[in-house]
Amino acid sequence: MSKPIKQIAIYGKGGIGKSTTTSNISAALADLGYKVMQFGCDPKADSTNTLRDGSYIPTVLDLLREKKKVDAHEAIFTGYGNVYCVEAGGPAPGVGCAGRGIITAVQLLKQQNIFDELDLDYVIYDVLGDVVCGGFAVPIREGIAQHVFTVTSADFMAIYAANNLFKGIQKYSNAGGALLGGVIANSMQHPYQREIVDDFVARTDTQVMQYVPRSITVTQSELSGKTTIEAAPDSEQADVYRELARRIEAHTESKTPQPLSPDELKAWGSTWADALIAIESGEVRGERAGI
Amino acid sequence: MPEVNLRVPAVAVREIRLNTITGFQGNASDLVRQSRCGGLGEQSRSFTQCLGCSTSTAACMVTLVRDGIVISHGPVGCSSCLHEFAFTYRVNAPLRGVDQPTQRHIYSTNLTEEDMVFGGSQKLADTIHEVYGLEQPKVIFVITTCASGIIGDDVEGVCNEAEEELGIPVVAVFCEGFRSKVWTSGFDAGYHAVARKLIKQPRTDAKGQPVRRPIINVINFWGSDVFSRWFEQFGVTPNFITPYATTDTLASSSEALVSVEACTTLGSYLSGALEQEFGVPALHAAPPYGIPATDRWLRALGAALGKPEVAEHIIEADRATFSPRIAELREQLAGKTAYVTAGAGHGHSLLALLSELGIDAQGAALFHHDPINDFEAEEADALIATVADYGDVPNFNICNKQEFELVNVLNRIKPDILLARHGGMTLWGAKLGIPSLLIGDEHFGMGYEGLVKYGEAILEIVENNEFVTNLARHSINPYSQWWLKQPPHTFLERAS
Repeated sequence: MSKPIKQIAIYGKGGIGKSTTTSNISAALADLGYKVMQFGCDPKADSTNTLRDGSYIPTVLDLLREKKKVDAHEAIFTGYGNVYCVEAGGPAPGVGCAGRGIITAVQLLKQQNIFDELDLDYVIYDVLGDVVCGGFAVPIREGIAQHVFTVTSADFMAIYAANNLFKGIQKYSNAGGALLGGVIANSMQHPYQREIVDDFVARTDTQVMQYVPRSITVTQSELSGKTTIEAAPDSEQADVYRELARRIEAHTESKTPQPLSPDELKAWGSTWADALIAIESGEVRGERAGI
Repeated sequence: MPEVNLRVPAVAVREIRLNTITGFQGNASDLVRQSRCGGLGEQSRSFTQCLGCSTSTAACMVTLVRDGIVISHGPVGCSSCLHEFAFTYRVNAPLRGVDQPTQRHIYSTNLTEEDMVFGGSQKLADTIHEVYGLEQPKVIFVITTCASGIIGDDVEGVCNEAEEELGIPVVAVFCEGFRSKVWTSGFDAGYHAVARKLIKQPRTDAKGQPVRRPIINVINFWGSDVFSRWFEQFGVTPNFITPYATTDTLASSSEALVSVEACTTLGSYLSGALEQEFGVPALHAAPPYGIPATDRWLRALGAALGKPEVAEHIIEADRATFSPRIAELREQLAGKTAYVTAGAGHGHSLLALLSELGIDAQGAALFHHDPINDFEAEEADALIATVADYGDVPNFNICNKQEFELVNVLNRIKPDILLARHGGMTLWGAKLGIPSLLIGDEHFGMGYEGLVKYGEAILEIVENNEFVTNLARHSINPYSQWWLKQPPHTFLERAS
C-alpha cells in the first residue's frame, strides 16, 4: 500500500468558475511540492486547459471510442508544475449518457491502479454543475473523494445548485461517501455578496474556505491559456488562490451539510431580495454622486 | 502482468484484462502461436445471433452458494432466465452428496420506469431488508444489470450500508451486460465479489503464522467429486468453490494448502486472488484430462503438498487398473472422427480426451479464447498442453455460441460424433444425424478412470445411432441451403 491520497471533488453550477478555481488550486498545490492529478468530469473536457496552455487533451472516453482497450497512461498528460491532467470526456450534447461516461472513465483509472502507481498526493475531481444523475455522484461516493468543496457566487441560482449538491452529499454521507469541506465563494465584488454567502453557509452548517474576488487578472490569464498562478504569480489574486490551496492542504475534517428545503430556500431568498433592493438602490445613488 | 485488485468493486472485463477474443478461424496451433506474441486481434462478425449476458453467468456462480440468496437489481426481465440455476442446483446435488437441495431463491427489485427516473437505490435497500426478513440468509448477493449500471445507482454503497445494519455480508456483483461480450466475464464478477467480501484472511497460529488446513480449493462448476479418491491418499479433502459451498467454507478457503481448477479459464482469476491476497498457492498445471495432463497434474499436486511419492503411487495404480480398458477402447474407437463445442478451457481438455482415445478431432467451436490466463501461468494453459501433447487441431473456431456457424461446419465435416458441454448445442448434431453426446459433469473425463468412462459413453452413442438417423430424416433444418453452401465464416471480419 502506498501513502493515503487526499481526494477532493469540486462541484458547482456551470459557468461559476469551477475549472478556473480547480486549476489554480492544482497549480498552487503543485508549487507546494505535491503530486497532483486533476480529473475533469465534464463532457466539455475543458477542465485542465489552463494547466496546458489552453490546449485540449484526448479524453478517456475519446480513447475508448477509438479502441476498446485503453491503457490509462494514454489519457494522462502533464501540465503546469507536472500536474497530471485527465479529462473523462463524454458524448456530444443530446446523445448517449454522460453520467455513465463518468462511471466508465473513473472505473478505468481505478482498475489500472493509476493513482497508486503515480504516487499521488492529491486527486482533484472537477465535476460538472449540479448532481444531475447517478453518474455525476460517482466522485462523492465511498472510496473515491473524501472532501467536497462547492464553488458558488452570491447569485441565487448558484446557491440553489450548491444547496442541491448538499442534498446529494447528505444522501451519501451515511454510506461512507464524501463529506463537505466548505464553500469557495467566487466572483466576490461587493460586501453584500460575502454576506449572502456567509448567511447561506451559516444556515447550512458549513464554512467558507476562501473568498475569491472577481478579478481581471483571472480573465487575462485565462485568455492566455494559463492559470493565474502561472501567468501572474505575483498578483494579489494568485495569493488568494495560494491561501485557498494552503487551507485545503490543512483541511482534515469535513462534515454533513444541512441543506435547506425548497420552502426554506425560497423564504431565505426573498429576505435577501428585500435587503438587496435597499443595498442596490443605495449603491446606485452613490455612483451617481461620483459622476 | 494482470493482477487482482480487490479494492475496486467492479472487476475489469476479459476484453481489457486478458485481450480475450470471440472470433477466430484457423488451426489450434495458429491460435497458440498468435496468442503469445500479441498478434491476436478480435475478429468481429457482421452478423451474429444472440449472446449470453454477464448477469446470468455471475448469477450462476453465486446462486449455487448453499446459504445465500440473490437479488437482481434491475427490470424483472433481467432475471427471467435465472431459474435455470435452481434446476442446476437440484439435479447436480447428488453428485456432491447434498441430499436435500434447498430451493434457490432469486429476487428482483423489478425496476420500473419510475425507478429509472428517480433512482433505484432506496428500492434496493428496502428489498435487501425485506428479503433478509423473509429468509435470514447467511449472505445476500446483489447482481447488477444494464439498467442499474446506466442510471448509476450506488449499489456498492447501499450494500455496504445494509451489511452494517444486518451483520451479514451483502455483496454487490458488478456484471452489467453491456460491459463485455465474453460470457466468462460474468464468472469473474461473481468470483471478484466472493474474493473481496466473503473470503477471510487465514487465522494465525501461536507463532503468528497463517493457519493451513488439509484442504484443497477446487474451483469448478458442479461436476462429480472425482477428487476425494485422489486427495485422501495425500491426506487432504476438496473444498469446492463456489457451487455447493457455504459462506463458512468460502470464508476459510484462505486456509487451504493449494488451489486447483477444473478449468483454467474459469478458475484462474479466483485462484490468482487466493494466491495474491490470501497466500494460497495456485497449482500451475492444466487440468487432468488425458494421460500426459493427468500425470503432470498429479505430480504438480504431489510437489505442492510435499508428497511426490504419493503422486507416483496414484499414477502407477491408476495406470495398472485402467490401461487395459483404455487400450481396448482405443481399438474400438480407432478411425472415428469428432467435433467439439464447449467453453474454452474445458473444450481444450475434451480435445485432449478425444486424441487420447485415438479419435480424430476434426475441429472445435469454443465460446471464447483468452490469449493469456490471469497470472500468465503458461503451464496451466490447456490448449498449449493439448497441442503439445497431441498435435494440431484443424477447423478451430472461436465463436460465442453462434449456432449458424456450428451448423454450417457440422454439415461440412459430418463427424462421427459431436461432443458438447452445454445444453442446447447437441440438438444441431442430432438434426444432422450426427450422434451427439452432452456431458454436463465436467469432471466426468478426469484422470485415467475418466478416459474409460468417456470412451464408453462415446462408444455407446456411436453404436446406437438409430434415433439421430431417424430424427435427421424427419427434421427440418431451419437454415437455408444458400447458407449451408457458404463458407462457415462468411460473416467473420478481420477487425480494422
